[in-house]
Amino acid sequence: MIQTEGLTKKFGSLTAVDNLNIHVDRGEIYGFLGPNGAGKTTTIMMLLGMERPTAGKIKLFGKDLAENYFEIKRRIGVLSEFQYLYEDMTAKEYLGFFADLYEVENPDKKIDEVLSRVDLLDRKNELLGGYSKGMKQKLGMARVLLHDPDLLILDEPQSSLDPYGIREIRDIIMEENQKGKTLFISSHILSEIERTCHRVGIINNGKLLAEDDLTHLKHQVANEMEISVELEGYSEAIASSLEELEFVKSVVYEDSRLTIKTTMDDDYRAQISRVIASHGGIVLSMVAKEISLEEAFVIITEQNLSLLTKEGQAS
Amino acid sequence: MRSTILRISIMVICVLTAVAGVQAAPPQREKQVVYGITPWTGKEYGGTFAPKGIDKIYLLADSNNVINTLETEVYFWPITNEYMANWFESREVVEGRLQILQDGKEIMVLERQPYNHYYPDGFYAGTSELLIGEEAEKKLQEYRDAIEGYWQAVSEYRQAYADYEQQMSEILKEVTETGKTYTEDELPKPPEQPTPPIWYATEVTEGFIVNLPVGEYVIRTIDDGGNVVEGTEKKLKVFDKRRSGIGYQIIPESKWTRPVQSDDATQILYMEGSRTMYLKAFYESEYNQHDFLKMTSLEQPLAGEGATSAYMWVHEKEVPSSIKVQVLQGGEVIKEAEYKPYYVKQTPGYALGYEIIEFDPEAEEFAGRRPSFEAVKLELGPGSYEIRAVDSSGRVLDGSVRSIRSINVVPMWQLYLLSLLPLAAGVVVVIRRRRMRGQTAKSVSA
Amino acid sequence: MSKMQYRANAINVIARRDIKSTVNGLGIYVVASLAFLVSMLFVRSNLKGVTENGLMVMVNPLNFPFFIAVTIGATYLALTSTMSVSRERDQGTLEVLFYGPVDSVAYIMAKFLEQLVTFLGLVIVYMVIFFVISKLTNFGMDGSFAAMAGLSVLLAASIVAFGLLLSTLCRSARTSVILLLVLLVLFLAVDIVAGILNSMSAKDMSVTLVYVRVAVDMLNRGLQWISPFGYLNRGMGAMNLGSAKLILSSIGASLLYTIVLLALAMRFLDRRGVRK
Repeated sequence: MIQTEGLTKKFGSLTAVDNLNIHVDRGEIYGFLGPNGAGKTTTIMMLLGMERPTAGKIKLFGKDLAENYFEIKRRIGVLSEFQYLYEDMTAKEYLGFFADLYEVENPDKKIDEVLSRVDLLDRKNELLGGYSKGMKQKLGMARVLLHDPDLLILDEPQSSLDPYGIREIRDIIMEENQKGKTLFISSHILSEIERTCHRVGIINNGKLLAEDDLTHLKHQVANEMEISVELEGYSEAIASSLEELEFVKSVVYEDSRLTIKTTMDDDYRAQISRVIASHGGIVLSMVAKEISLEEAFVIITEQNLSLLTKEGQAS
Repeated sequence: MRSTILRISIMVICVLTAVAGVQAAPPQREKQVVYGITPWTGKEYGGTFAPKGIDKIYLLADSNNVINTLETEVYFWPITNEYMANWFESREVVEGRLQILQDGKEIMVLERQPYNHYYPDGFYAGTSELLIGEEAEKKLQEYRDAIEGYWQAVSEYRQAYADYEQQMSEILKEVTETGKTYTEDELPKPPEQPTPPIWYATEVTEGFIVNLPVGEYVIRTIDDGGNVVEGTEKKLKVFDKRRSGIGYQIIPESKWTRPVQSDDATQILYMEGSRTMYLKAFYESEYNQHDFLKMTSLEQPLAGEGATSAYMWVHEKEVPSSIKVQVLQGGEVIKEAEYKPYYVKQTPGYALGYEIIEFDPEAEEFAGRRPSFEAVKLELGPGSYEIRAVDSSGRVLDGSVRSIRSINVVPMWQLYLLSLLPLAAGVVVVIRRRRMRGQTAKSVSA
Repeated sequence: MSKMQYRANAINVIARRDIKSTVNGLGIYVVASLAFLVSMLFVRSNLKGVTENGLMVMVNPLNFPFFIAVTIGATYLALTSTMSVSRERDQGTLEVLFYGPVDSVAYIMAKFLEQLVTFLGLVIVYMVIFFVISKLTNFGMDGSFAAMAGLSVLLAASIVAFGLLLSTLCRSARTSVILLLVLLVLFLAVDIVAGILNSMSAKDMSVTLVYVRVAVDMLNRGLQWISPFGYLNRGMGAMNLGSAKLILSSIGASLLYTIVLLALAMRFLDRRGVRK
């Protein structure tokens, strides 16, 4: 759906985006992450043809944007971080304008439908100048949905929203994905990315450091897994037997709870259970505590840790 | 580029000399090779010259113009900002031929030809014709013959008059001595005084007769060996009129000394109420102001400067007085007037003023007087009219149609009020829009 | 659908929205009235001239007031288009438009057409009111008036294109508006001063004034190819001469000027970008 090859953007001596190779498949929700100034917005602007790349290629829907500008643009819905609206218009007029621009069929019906999805139907005749930040954000989402795009590019779609608004947008994202739409989301709310995205790309200083599905990404970043075991019948033998296992890095017993740190190369919970049982211990509960996306993000960006091969592909 | 720099230099010199108090030093005289130019201006033959400081000459296309290479004393006269030539004390013909080049290629070489000017209506009235070669010689000879004939006639007249006086003296003596009476018919008639020829032909002289189509040229004088005479190479611009037509001079009866002019159909004559006016029609042509003024006053470096984008109408000659002026209203001819002589008669008494009356040469009150002007009189009431000039065969002269309209004096408040209409419409639109917004907002909240 | 059809739709939609916005605002009405009030001063002066002199020769006395009115109208539209591009960029709405099926060609053309259509409406209002003035005063409205009205559309087109170019060149709305105003006033002033100086006889002028005339004339000749008013002058001159060739060439030159400015505006918009 989205494919870039060696995408580079330089502003004078500053390289905002450096040899970026991203790949978003049809029907997936792709999280595009990076700290402020990492080059996310510049990348999105290049994807939309609003910044001219210094080098590299972009393919949307497998086509070159410059050659199929209008055709491609009509299949994309874009939501920016901040909503810039014609404040002298009502929501109905505003969406009517975009409906005309995208030549939406049955525009009135479609406008009511999208306004209802973002819970703004009863405010459709109000001037946008009087809308709150959150309402504007939701109206922006309504605009994105208006022409039923195949690809949604959302830049901070949940910023300025209250928890209800965040859930509404999350629901919309999931619904759209269920309809087979592709979503490219750039966000700082990593918990939302973690909930919604299938794959993420992490960019820092203009360079793509990681691009993978979430589980694999976390596995790559974290070098150990923490398994917490609640058990009955603890004995020193259990701890020493566990410590002898090759994949176990450390074992700590405290407050009827055994904390075992293992390597990340496999899931060792079954083997641990067997060792505990063989020494008469009874496992009451066992939880494998994974690294969060936020932690992975921090590790990757702080250490500028590249999880990609030289060719820019995930290793 | 060179000419622009030259022009600017000349002007700077002019400004500096004007500022510097020129009365102190006498102008510097210098012997120069110049071109004496007699250009055809469309109306008459003019006279100018191109000294060393002027590098471009201007002439009208497809007309005979005279150029002559001369050596004379030249000085710049800062008071009038023009070059002067001391023709009377210093005028030598520079021998040679005139070579004309275009785009660097020679297109013709002219030999000097004899020419003169023939003034059919006299030197001080009307225009002249340029006669070339044998025609000039012939006309000059005719003129000389005419003058000789005139002097012969004068001599004969004097003799006849002397004879007449002698006869009268004898008759007087006889009457005194004998008391004999003579009837008027028996008395000798005095001889008729001969009239000198009005027309005039100048002495035949020699010059280069230049007649070229529109274009940019270079001219230079070359000697018998084909060498260019130093200081004779100049640019030559040959230009033409932009358009021609009929112009009117309109003399209002109320202000006869302040006539107005209408040169083309866009120039409409407006009047207030009923008016009487006198029209004189002219053949005219429109020329580029810069080129025309340069052509006629080349010795004045400032002439035409800054007027390259401007055009001027030149009244060339009056249309024959046999033409009539028709007045039309709604496409119908409602009036036709012809040329008549008029006399401006001052009103006697303390109330200073005048009246314009038709001049009747037979009337006693005009004895010894000449008409003040000859024109077509129009008396028009309020309304919109068109006028046009027609010749004796009824053909409308090209470019002679003009509109005459009498204005309605409207109170200005009406016009200002009209101006406010869009604003009123805008206020209505904005209020309506606000009301609509208000209504939709209310209906939604309800 | 072809690229041209998509683009045409974008032009149509954006232009319609802007026209609606202009028509619903008070600005255009205020300017129309202001333009009339200013032009009425010239009508008044002409009326006064005739009443004081009894007879007066004038070249279409309503043409110059009409020219003043259309110039004010066209300048206002150029200002609004300049401001609207800069404002849309400053407000970020320009960026939002470009998320969709809008490119610089469609956007500039939409802005241009919007102003041109608004101007056409304005010219119709002007013509109606001037017709009433003509009837009231009996000042003539001949073919040259209609020609002037026609040419004024070309004038408006070139002024608007000029404004759009400046709006894409300048960093801020304020700079572009000030620059537009200064340049238009300069063009108009040089044109008028050159006209006045040319109408004076050199004999009545001091050497210094002749020098000034030469300088103004040279400047004016140069500006005639840059200034939108230069193209109107050429058009009017051609109309007066009645030369079809000159009329066509002046219209062609005017159109070419507008096209070149619009193309440059599109190019600069692409280069400068649409983001805040």
